[in-house]
Amino acid sequence: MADQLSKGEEFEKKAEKKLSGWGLFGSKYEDAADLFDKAANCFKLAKSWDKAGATYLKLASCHLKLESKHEAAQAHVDAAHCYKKTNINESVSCLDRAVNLFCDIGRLSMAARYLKEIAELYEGEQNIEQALVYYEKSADFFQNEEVTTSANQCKQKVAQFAAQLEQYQKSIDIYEEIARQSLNNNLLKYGVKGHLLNAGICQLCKEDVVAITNALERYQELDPTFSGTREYRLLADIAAAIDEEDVAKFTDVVKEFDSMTPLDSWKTTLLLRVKEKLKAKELEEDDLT
Amino acid sequence: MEVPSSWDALRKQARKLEAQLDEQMNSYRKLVSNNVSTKADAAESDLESWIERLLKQLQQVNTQMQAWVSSGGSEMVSHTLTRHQEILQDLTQEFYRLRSSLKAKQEHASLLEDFKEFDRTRLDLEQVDSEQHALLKERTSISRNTGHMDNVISQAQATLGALVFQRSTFGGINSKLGNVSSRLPTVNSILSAIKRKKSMDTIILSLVAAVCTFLIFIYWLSK
Repeated sequence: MADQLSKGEEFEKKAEKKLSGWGLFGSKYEDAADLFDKAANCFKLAKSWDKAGATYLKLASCHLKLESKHEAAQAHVDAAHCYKKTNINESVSCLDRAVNLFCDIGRLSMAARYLKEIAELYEGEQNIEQALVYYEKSADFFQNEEVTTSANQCKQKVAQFAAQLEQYQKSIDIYEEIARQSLNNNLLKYGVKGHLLNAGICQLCKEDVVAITNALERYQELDPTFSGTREYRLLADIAAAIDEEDVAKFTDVVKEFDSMTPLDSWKTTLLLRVKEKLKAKELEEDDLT
Repeated sequence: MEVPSSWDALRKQARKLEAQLDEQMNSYRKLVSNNVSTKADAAESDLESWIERLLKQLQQVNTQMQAWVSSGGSEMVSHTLTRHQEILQDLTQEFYRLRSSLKAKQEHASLLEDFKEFDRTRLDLEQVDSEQHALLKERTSISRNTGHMDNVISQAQATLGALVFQRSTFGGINSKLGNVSSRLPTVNSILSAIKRKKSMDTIILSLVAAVCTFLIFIYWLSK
């Protein structure tokens, strides 16, 4: 461990000397880059993540001097992976720079992949706003490169976070679009009812009974088999309960659905919002009475 | 090697905070696993804010340690700092996970809770005669069968999801192979580097030959 650390520092000193020296034969940046790479590798073996990250950043600047943008971007990615263990903010900024470099050289699919990685880091930090922004960028890039599967995965994440941030219309649009795309694919059409259920739950959160009814009719036109599913039954019954402002009926319907298909935490959160609004309305009417 | 007392004090403080955090996290973990109520009671929020405060303090101590190391620390010291940073990150991630889990449980229970329903259910049971009761039992068993079928369908859908993921993985492999083939320009840059090295060698050889010729000429003149 310690000897790896000292070896790394030795390589780093050599590299710095190369940079400050005068390169008569060959490029001093190339030689320094090799030495920085060795130094960073030694630091990784010694588990000195901060030093390894800093050294990779120096390696990246060497490659930029050499006009090797791909190598510089890769060095930034390596730095980000080192910083991921100790410093999330630094990791995100490294990946951001890598994404910019990949965009410069036209490698959008790699840029999209690392944008998704940034979004996952923010998700882990429970920073939903930033995670949403980066998932959206990532989805755009995947879409540009016609990688539909990954784009849809990112879009579903965008929809999920948008609903959590109460941007229901955005969430609804995304789920409906994914459902529409899935209908054209024989492999994916069995997942359509899940997407439509998610879209329907977001509609319920908007507290507009007419919009809910119209949406349910639209979903039936989209997918004729949807009207026979339990998901449709759940949405229709909840819409009726909202129309009648009956919290007990709402709870019965949700409980019945949950007893057979347990709701995940996202659906639970949104339905709880609907229930609390409904309860508030009911209390309001009781007060008036 | 003598470590200054300020480092010792910081390290001791960090260790103390980590021990406290471990203790509080264990309590919080028990609380999360035992929780059945729908209301967030005072004990939970107190514990949460206490843990958050400890995490902030530990973050500050780590920042001070970082500043101390940046102003010239040894290898052993910087390695210790890295270890503390990793511990802080692990604790933070676990706290976030536990808090999310607790919130999800509370929301789930709150969604399914209804005080009126209990009374209504009792009334319904009193009113139902034997024939309706039999019909209700039949309906329940049919619903349960439907639930089982939905479970099987869900498993099939999960399998489908896994297959779709594999498809995207192979797509990724395909794009990586494309990336490798597009690295062939790198081979061109290697060839151009070789060419440059060769011309460099030619220049060196010419210089050496010129110097030797010059020395021979000087020797010939001095004869």
